[in-house]
Amino acid sequence: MNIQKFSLENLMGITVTFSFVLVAAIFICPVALAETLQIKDQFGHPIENVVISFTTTETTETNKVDVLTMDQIDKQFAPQVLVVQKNQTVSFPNSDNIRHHLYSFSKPKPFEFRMFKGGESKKLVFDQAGIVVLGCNIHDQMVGYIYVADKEQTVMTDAQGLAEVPAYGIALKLWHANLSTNKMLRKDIQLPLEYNDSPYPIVLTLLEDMVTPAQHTFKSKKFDRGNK
Amino acid sequence: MTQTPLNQSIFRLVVGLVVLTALTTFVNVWMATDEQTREKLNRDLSIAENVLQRVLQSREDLLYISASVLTADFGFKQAVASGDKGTIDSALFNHGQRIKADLMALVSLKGKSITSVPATLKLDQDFAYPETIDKVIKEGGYTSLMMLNKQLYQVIMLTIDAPTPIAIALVGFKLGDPILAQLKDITKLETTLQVYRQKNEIFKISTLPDPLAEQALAQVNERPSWLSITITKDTPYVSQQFTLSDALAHQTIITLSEDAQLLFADFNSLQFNITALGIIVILLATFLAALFSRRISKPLVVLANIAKRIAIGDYTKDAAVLTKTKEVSLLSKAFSKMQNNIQAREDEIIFQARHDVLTSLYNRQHVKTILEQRFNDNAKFLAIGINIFGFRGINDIFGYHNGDLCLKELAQRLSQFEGVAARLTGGELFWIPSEEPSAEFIKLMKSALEAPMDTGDVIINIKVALGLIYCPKDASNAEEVFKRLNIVLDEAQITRQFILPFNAELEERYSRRLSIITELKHTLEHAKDELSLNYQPKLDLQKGKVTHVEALIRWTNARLGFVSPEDFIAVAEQAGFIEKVTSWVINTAINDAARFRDANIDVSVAINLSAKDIMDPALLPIVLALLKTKDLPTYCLSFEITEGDLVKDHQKAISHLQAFRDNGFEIAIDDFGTGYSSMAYLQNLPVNTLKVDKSFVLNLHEQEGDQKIVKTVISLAHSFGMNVVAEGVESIEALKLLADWGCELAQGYYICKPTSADNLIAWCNQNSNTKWL
Repeated sequence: MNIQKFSLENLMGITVTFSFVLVAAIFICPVALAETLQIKDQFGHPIENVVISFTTTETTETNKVDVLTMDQIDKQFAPQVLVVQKNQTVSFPNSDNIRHHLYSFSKPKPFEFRMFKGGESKKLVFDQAGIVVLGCNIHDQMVGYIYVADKEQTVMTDAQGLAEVPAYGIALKLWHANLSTNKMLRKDIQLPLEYNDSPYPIVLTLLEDMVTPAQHTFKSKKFDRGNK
Repeated sequence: MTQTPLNQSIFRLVVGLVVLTALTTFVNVWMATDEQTREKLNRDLSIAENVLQRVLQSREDLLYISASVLTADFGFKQAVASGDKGTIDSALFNHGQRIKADLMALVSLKGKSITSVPATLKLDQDFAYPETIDKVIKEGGYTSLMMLNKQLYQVIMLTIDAPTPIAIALVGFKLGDPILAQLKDITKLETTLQVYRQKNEIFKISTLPDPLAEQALAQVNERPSWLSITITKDTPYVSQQFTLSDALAHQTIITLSEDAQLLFADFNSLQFNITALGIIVILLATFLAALFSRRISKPLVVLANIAKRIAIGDYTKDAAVLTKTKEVSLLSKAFSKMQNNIQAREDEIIFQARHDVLTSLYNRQHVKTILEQRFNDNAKFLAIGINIFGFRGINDIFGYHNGDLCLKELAQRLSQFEGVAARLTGGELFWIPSEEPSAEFIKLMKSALEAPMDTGDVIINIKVALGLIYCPKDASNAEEVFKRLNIVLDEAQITRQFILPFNAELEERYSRRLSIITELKHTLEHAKDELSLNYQPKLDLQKGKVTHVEALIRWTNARLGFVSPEDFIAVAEQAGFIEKVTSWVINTAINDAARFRDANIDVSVAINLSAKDIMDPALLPIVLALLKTKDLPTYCLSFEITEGDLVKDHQKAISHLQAFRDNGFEIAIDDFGTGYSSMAYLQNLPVNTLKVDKSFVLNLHEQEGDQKIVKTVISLAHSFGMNVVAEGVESIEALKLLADWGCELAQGYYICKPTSADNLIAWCNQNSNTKWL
């Protein structure tokens, strides 16, 4: 749904791209998705963009040749979180009419390249599983994540924090950017065998007030003088 | 009450006021400056505190900018992300150099030190303030004062975002002596910085050397007194303390200290100036007040001296005082006026004191002075007393107004003659001619003075008597002059010698007269037994027996001895107390008459009356009353009067005598033949007897002339229907002649000498049968 919504919103998207996404969605989401989860934070707000990964017996081979896109629109990464399979290629187009200087110091894929206005899309192959934090050296507020999955299946929560898993009783790994400072932490969740109500609620404790560097409040703060 | 001189009062007032003002000013300035200095101190310290905060704030801002530039640097991020320690260290060092940081370090998100340039933080050790790490990650940064490796740093911690935090960069600036020096430079205050952990000092730096810093800290928030700063100097610094930071369990305290000497230096110099100024003003005021008060009081002292001079009667000096003070000038003018007025009044008083008010001639008092002056000068001069005859009569007749006019006119006339003219009393004037005048001149002058006086109402003729006293022959002092003038004028009046020079005899007579007056008065009052009545029988020549006696007064005074009645009766008449003598005589005579009657001696007692007695209307009733008390008929008493007594006020005398006659009293004219009796008035006189003066009778039988006179008088008397009494009969021849000529009564030694009442009774009894012829 997320992808669909995203695609629909992106009316300027090329038909080809659209079809890729559609195909990807079909591949990623197994046929037998049956149980719904809802993930909320410690304050009871639904959490979007939680990557839920799990391993099923019926593993589906992902088409690794499919190229996924991490666009830059309005000085933001789009999507903010992109899940790819190991060795999958991600295309980085520039939909803004300004320059960007994309980089990542994350271990799975450190890179750096400059995007020019209306320039060609860059393509990168993510050959190691892990979390790749994306930044733009020009626009500090741009933060994006590419979740490189290693064979496991993944789903992502929507804006309501909802996601579907094939069945209860399986083990899940949950990842969210605000789960840890270094963004690397994944949380293991064992689903019960049965759960009558739907969706099944999961609470994730996120780092409070995690803000982007551009929103640093520190600068406006005074020198810490205690009570003074 | 003690009195203070005016100049002293003014001086005290002015100086007092100035001193008071100066003191008030001094105290005010002292308090104000002290207050101001304290305020300035507080202000200075507050400002300094603010400045210090600002400085640290801007340093912090600078640090932040520097540090954020560092952490935003892509290459740096890259180096950090790469974990290449060599690169990281060099990058830190490089950036540290750029921003002149004292400490550059990298701390992992877990709080482990990754690297430190210089090696202040130990590698792989937990960061000293782990609580800051979360804050840094949460807020992107943190800044505070931190004690690191026993040094105080101002530290900035920032996340290194790539783009999410991957590590924490730490940039530190040492807070050490250089920065304090810099702060001192800005605030001009000594600055001490202390760090406490759990109330224990763990760090201290100061711009002051250690012992001074200790003292300053010990006297924090103490506000020293002016005394302690200027005199005891035990408070070298005035300090204020504030907490710069109280974070991370560390308390950072700043103490700002101001040098008290410097702080109060202006204050002290101001106080010194004010004190000096005050002293100068007081000295100046003292000087000016002295000058001013002298200026005020000096003319007053001069005026006081002038007043003293005026008081003793010296008006010669001008009372004007040169002064610039208006009031004193007014006073001085008033003094001048007062002096003039006093002088004028005194002149007037002196004039009045020396002059007679009525005539404006000198008065007796002043003349006395003049005379004394002349006597002192041994001058030879003539003093003339001028007495108006009967001046009292003029007043009585013409009134005092005319009397006064008369005197004035006379004074006017006298003033025309050269000399000293004065009025002594009543109608008595006085003149000292400048040159001794001749007798002719005096006569001329007298007639000039006696010229008729026209008062407007009437013309008055006056008569004056002049008494001349030749000084110093006749008198040797003023009192003597007056006394002798009195004598000589009295004498002139009595004797009708109108120009009479003084001689010693006059004074003797006068003295005797005075003695007589004094003694006679005394006798009449207290010693009546000195007086006695003698009786001399009058023989009736036809009956051959005594029918009348004449009462003759005798006075034997204890001091004067026997005084002749001729002397003392005249004196008593002149002195105006003859009526007292008469009264005594009448009383005694009536008593004796009663005795004679009781002794069967039938005589009529003749009493001599003076002119005054005749004029006294009360006499007759008294006589009648006395007779009545003794039950005596009127013929027991008879009266004798002299011709002269009848000259004045003839009509009144006649009517009074007539009254006596009407009551049956016999009245005789005494001493007949010696005066100037006119036949005309003799005819009208209500008398029944003429008494021939003894001068015609004494030698009657030898003197044919006397015989003719006596015979004529007898026939004359008889032709007027009067009886005749001859006195002074001292021989039988005379007695026979008188009897032959038809004389009714004879009196004289031949018959009997005057004798006392007792003797007379005896004599009468002896001679009851005596044949006298």
